[in-house]
Amino acid sequence: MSSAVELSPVVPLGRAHVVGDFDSGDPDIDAFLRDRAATEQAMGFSQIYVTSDPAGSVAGYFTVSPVTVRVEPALLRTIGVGAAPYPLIGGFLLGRLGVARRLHGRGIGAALVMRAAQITKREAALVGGSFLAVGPGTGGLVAWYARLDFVRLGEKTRRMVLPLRAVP
Amino acid sequence: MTSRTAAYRSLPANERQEFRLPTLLKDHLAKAAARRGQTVAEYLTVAVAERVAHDLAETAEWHLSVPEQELLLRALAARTRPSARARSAAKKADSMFGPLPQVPRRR
Repeated sequence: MSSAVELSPVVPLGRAHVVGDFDSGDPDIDAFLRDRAATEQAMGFSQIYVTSDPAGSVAGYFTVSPVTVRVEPALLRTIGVGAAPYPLIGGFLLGRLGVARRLHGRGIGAALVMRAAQITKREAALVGGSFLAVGPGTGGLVAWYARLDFVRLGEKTRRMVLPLRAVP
Repeated sequence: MTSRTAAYRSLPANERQEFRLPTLLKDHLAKAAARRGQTVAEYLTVAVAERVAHDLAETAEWHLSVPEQELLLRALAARTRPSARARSAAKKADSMFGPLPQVPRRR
């Protein structure tokens, strides 16, 4: 690991951020930030949060958007929430996460996940929401998220949730 | 036209899409577009943008199997404490990005 890097606070993506040279090593993650993130944010599909280096180049980013899960009313009763007026549980989806390849190995990805969880927990206090969800693309990422307290929703799925009440 | 549809239409039309369709549908498409005073491309772009915006909004709902729902509910109901690794990552987030700004609350 090389020397410490100075990173900005995590803030919503803005016009001043330099996205053209972002290289995470994952072409899809890079192309999203470069070509679609600003538009999707403007359309309200998701909110893109970034941290940048002193030159304004994006060093890492993640996207969050609302997500709901429909649950069987009978299951709600099993955990003592039988009187819920409608069988929907709301949360947030951590859709994309990327860290510049030049900064890999410094724990920035895990720190960004925790910052995403903290932001959504803060927002949930205002608008509701009980979990942060992810759908990791590989088994390796499933194990990585599990180490950050995400719970896998079964062996046949890669979908995972982090209960917001468990966020430090 | 919805705001999302308008956002799609404000973007440059820089891609081509080729597909086959029945002759009758193609004829009716041209008639329908003409009645609105639009080109076929304009008519199709609006129609597709509306459908895509609607379908993407639908994906904001996760459809889980009953066993997956049960695991979700049990995870939400459990009173677990953050693991040492999660606490460490949260401390690192504070050290890297500064403390999380709090949203002002109504008094």
